[in-house]
Amino acid sequence: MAIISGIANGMLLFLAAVGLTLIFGVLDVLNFAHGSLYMLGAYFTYFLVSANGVLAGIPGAFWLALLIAPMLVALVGVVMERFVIRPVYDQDHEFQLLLTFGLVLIIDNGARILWGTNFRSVNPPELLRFQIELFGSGYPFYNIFLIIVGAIAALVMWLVFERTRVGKIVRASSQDRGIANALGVNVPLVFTGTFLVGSLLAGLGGALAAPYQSIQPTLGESIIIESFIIVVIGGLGSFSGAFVGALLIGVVNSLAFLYLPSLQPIIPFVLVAIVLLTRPAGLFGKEVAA
Amino acid sequence: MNALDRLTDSRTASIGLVAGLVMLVLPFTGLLSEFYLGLVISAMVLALFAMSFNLLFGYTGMLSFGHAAYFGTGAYVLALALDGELGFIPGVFESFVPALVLAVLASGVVALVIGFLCVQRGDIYFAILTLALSMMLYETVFTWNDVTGGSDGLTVLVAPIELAGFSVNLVDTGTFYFLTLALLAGSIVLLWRLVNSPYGELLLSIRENPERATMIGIPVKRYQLSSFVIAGLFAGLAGTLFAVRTFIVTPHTLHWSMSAEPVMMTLLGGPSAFVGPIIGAVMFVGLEQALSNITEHWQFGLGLLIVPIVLFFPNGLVGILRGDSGGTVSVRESIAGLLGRESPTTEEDAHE
Repeated sequence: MAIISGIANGMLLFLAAVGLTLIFGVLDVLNFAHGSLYMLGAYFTYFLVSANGVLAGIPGAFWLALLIAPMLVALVGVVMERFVIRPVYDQDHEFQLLLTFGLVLIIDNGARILWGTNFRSVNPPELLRFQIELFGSGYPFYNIFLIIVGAIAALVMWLVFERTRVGKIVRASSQDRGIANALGVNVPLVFTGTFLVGSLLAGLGGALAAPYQSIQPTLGESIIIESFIIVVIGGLGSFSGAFVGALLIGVVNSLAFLYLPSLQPIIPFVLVAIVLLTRPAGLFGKEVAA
Repeated sequence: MNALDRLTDSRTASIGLVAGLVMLVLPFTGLLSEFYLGLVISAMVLALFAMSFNLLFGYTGMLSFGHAAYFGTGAYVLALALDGELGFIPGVFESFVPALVLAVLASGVVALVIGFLCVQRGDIYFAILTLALSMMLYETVFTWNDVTGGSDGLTVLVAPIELAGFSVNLVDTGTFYFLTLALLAGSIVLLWRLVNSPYGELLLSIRENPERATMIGIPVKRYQLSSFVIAGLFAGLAGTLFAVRTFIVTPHTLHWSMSAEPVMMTLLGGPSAFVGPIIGAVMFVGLEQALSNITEHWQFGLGLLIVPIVLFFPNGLVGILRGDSGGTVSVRESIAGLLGRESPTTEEDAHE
């Protein structure tokens, strides 16, 4: 039971972390504001479907929001990429980190100004609001839904990147942008596209999380720290690393919540320390000179 | 090394001396009300915190995003030591000076442990790890209610110190001003000596090119760790002063938003100059005060400031005064870009 909750939670973490790792893998930029995009996904959903939201009363509002909210987040992401991040592609990682940190302050406090600091919540749609019988006890179906959506997203991404021409172009640009450019790839376009997809995934994670956890402006910072942990464990820039890392953190978190509640907040960090000391590049990371 | 740091020793010393004298007589001039004197103290405490951060960022080239870990450790250990209720800290430490020493040393130990893990990986991993591990400490303190008081924190009450017949009461703003000034001045001298020593030159060489430093036989990780620990000690000292000043220690002293403060102060002032963090701290305290007079969402305004500063003036105010914008992007170019006219600059230009 705890394991299923863990996997459901892990899927949300995966959607957040994979965008982070995708953007890093292709653009070589570590986007500190990625968690804030996730938070925006949740707030946009709330904005769309809550009692006095834009879509309130329309049948299937939640499903529409699940479509619209990530797109709005992707739009924010593209604006960010275009005006703030593009000028510093070739700069030190430190400066990119500081820059996106400034964005975190703007977005998080912007959310605070727009929606206040109170907890907000969104109801799961009628269709998913039932319990299923699992191992002899009732269990909210929404968690199963999260697992299904997360698995589909992972599969689609894997197929796109490994099996299509677009995937090949993106992988080529991530490996050597100069050569890709010379071969006629529009590298800036690929970068913007990657940022769009990464933001879209973060937004989707946030939208899916809206009925699952309470929404507040600090959501972004907790998710970015967990995403960082995941990509450190999995290996920064690694797809499968993000997947395995997210599931690992999700499951370990919910098991710890059950059996060692007092130690629960610390356990992910202990995991990081262990992974780092034994495999400095992360579980799936390529070994590089430190 | 840069022009501002290369000022001749005598000139630096005289500027420092004048600044010190001004600071010494400042409370007696009656120019400042107790409230503004308090702000000056805050600026001094944060300047110390920012300088300790910049030893890592500006001098060793490591962006620590978890510097609050040592600041908070200093604050908490001081609070715990002064609170005689706790059996596991010997009673000797209940008076201020031993408690201070204990707190600073504890910060150094925490920095040693965290630093050991973090220097294993360079570059952005370092930033991520310092952030993650400091948040672990935050979570621990937040959860460990019995000892740390959880989210309520601990109160800090410094008993008056008996000194040669005089009773020194640190709760008094004026008295505390001089203690802070003395400790800040001492720290500045120590740090100045440090970064201008062969050791400081080694740190700079690591910042410039860690691979090359490794090649010529410098044990890079060991030097990085040592500067991490020194930075931790000074951050801890700043934390203890903060605790005495605010009378209370809460988990916020360990939170990542606290870690962000020295980062912003250093950026505002300029990470490439020794005095950058000091100038930045003064600017930061002033800005915070001014912005929070206007709106409770002062951090929003801060964010709006940081983005253009990093983009256009990564060398901070010192960089602007020195006349090298040194920006990652020039303002003109960027505006041209915004208008859709990419200016024909080559990559080499962008690096300069």
